Amino acid sequence: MIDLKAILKGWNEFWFAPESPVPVAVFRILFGLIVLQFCWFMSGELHSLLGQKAIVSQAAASAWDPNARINLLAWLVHSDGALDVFWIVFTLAAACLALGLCTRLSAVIVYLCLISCDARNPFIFTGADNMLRVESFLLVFSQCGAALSLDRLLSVWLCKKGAQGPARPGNPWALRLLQVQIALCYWAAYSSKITGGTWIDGSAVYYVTHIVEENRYALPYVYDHIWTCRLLSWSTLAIEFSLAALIWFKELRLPLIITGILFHAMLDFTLIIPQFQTVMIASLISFIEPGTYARMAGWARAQARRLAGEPLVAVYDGSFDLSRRLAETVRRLDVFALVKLIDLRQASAASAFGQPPALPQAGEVLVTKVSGQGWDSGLRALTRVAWRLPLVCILCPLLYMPGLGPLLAGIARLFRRLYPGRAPVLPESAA
Amino acid sequence: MASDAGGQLAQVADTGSLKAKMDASTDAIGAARKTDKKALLNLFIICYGLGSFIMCCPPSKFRDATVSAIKPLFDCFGLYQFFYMYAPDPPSVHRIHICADISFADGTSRVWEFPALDSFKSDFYKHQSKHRYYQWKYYLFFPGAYPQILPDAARWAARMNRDPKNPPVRVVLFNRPEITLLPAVDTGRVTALAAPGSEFFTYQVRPGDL
Repeated sequence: MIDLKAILKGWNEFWFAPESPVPVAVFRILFGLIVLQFCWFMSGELHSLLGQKAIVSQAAASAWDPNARINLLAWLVHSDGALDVFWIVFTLAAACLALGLCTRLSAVIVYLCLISCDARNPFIFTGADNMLRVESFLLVFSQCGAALSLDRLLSVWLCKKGAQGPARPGNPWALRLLQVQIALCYWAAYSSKITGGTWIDGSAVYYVTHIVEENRYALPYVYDHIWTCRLLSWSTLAIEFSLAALIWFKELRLPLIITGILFHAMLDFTLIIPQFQTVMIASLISFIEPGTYARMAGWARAQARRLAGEPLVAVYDGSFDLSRRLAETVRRLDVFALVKLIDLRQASAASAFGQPPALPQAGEVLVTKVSGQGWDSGLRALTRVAWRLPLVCILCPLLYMPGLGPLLAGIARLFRRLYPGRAPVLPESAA
Repeated sequence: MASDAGGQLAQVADTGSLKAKMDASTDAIGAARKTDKKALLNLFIICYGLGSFIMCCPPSKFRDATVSAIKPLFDCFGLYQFFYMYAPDPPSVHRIHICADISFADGTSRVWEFPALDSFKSDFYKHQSKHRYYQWKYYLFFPGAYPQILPDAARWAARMNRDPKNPPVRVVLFNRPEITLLPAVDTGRVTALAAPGSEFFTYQVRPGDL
């Protein structure tokens, strides 16, 4: 008997059970970098490939596929100069996507640019570009900016009460659909290969590795020997089938991801197919579960602690707005747990550190203590933190440059007047 | 006085119950919206998943008929997918030479070869950039399948060979493939056979093409 309720429950859990946004955020970073590389590779031949006098005209591309398509290049770009501007916007959007700045908007722009390029000249794109297009579409709907992003750091300063705590688990349906899409890509590779004769008789790898224009390094013996080629052809079928079907089993997932990455790395060593292997490796990484990331982070933190010694103790006042926001920023930047943040309001703070420092009275936002030494405050304290977390350097001039405080306070007042629903920025509290 | 206070109390009680009713109805609307959103999401997931699955299946009558029905919608959003990946069989082509026999105004002619990827192997960036031409060359290799792109290819070849004093007047495209031969077992060596070239397109160049 099949229990319909159990099926529905399984369906809901698979698509909608809240999950950490870290896996999709890691994928977003890799994806953004790959799109940046795509822009870099294309920029050298941009006018020849997509310009007004390109190798394929817009009319020929439209004649080949008369279906209506979203094509910003046909609608907005009518000169090579405009194409350059389009490319700059595309590249900036890819950079913002990698950094997680205005993430959703960046993802939309990247998606529109990618599909426009394909609509303009579909004869120059490969399976890698195909994957990039489809993945960019799904990324638009995902919570890819909810972790490891500048958006998340900025939310500490822009939200009314200052966002706090680790990234909240969210709805992972877009990531799941992305994973289904990746598995379908391997399914397409496997199912179409088994209909051909050369993959079954094992000679396919011989033909593939002897396409001179796609061959990167000609290994002696390996690809010239028919039995080696047979073994590699059949292994390819087995790996592609496993990555389509067996990757869904929890116990097999990590070994298969590692196998897949090695498989693509070997292909990259042998063949030059621009970006295909990197796209597929990044796609496979999206299958890594949040628990695995947590274990990896734990291991990395232990190693970092072994190298950097005991964490730096930093005390802040949780009731003081600026102090709380600064502490939250440090917490979000501190991937390796190199700084131990303690809220002065907590009862444990006094007992743990004896004489607690008087933060608000001194007008300071953070004090630090190095074992065996005294307390540091102000710029000195922040500099100590910056030695551990170099990105904190950006905050130093914002908080301590003379005259900058009143200027930012003015901007904050203006911001509050323009957007009454949003928060005052830091200098109000600093003052 | 007492009735006044009673009335006020009743009014407060009424306001309280009204607020509770309003909260309850707001919650109900919120829950209904959430259900609607989830239903739409489920519909989208099923449609997208099924469409992608059918597109990723090997060619069959059912697959082809279904794909031709859903392709316009997937095409519109740039989501049509096709993964070649050397399937069903990799090409047994060692190297593709697509060439243009270009005749100039003064009666002379020159054979010009479209960018060959292996000549850029030492330069990583150039090799990656020029790969796009290689991809395009593959479509030219099957000229009967993509006749729309042939005039542009001939025009581009003419532009690559333009000379204001002696402009190209005619371009003939032809291919000259080298076929990979399978080695005998245990005595493997890279083997290739040059196939005879064949002309597949002739184009008369106009001044505006250059």
